[in-house]
Amino acid sequence: MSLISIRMPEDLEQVLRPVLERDPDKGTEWLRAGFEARLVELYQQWQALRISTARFAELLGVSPWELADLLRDRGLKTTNLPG
Amino acid sequence: MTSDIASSVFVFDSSPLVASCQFAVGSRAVAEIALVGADVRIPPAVYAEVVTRGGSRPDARLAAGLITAGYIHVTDATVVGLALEDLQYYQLGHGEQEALTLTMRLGNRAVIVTDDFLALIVASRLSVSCQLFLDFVIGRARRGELTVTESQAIVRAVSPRYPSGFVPHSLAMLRTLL
Repeated sequence: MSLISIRMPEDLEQVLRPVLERDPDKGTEWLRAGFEARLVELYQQWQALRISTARFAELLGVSPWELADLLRDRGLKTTNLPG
Repeated sequence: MTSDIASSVFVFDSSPLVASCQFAVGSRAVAEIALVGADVRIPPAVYAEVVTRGGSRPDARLAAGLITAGYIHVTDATVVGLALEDLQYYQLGHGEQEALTLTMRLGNRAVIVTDDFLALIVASRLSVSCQLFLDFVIGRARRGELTVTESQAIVRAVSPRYPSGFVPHSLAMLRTLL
């Protein structure tokens, strides 16, 4: 696992810092949960045709290649075609 | 929508381009078989999504190589005209917007190739010719630009990508060409 820096709003930092000081692994857990929740939210919008494939990638902040990998790795549909 | 257009210009958005570089027939990527010899164009936004954002990934480098080798041409829609205002009503990505605009500006000979259902619907509403990647392959087989055997192999290779029905139907269409 690698170490990365993320900019954090002050109000959120006040809440998160004490927790992270007690349990640094919580950050990983939150990051994963937040990303997966966003992925699911956008996936549902994509399947409902509220957003397109490229827009899905843009909103998730990944490239179309990474989006294809993410969907395939999770066993999700890789197009928004019906059926 | 259309599936059989003679001497066309094919404008790809990122969805079929990415898929055709990720799936292979034997040791060759689908894109290396399916796209070669066709007049394939992409707008700059698709280039950015696929090549620039793809970085050093092997599949992205393959797409970049096809562009460098002249099998895919980057064509700027803004040289031909303004972006389509109608697209503002939809949550399309930049690549799809530019691909639709470019297809519209290139006129009757141009077809957008996309596997995005929303982009297909928008294209249809704008009377822009559009087709799935599967139909691009079938069209090339119909025109004798790909052999039926090659086309069947391509369709089978990309089959994990499509919902049930699309691949068996495509293979049935190809069988009629034998």
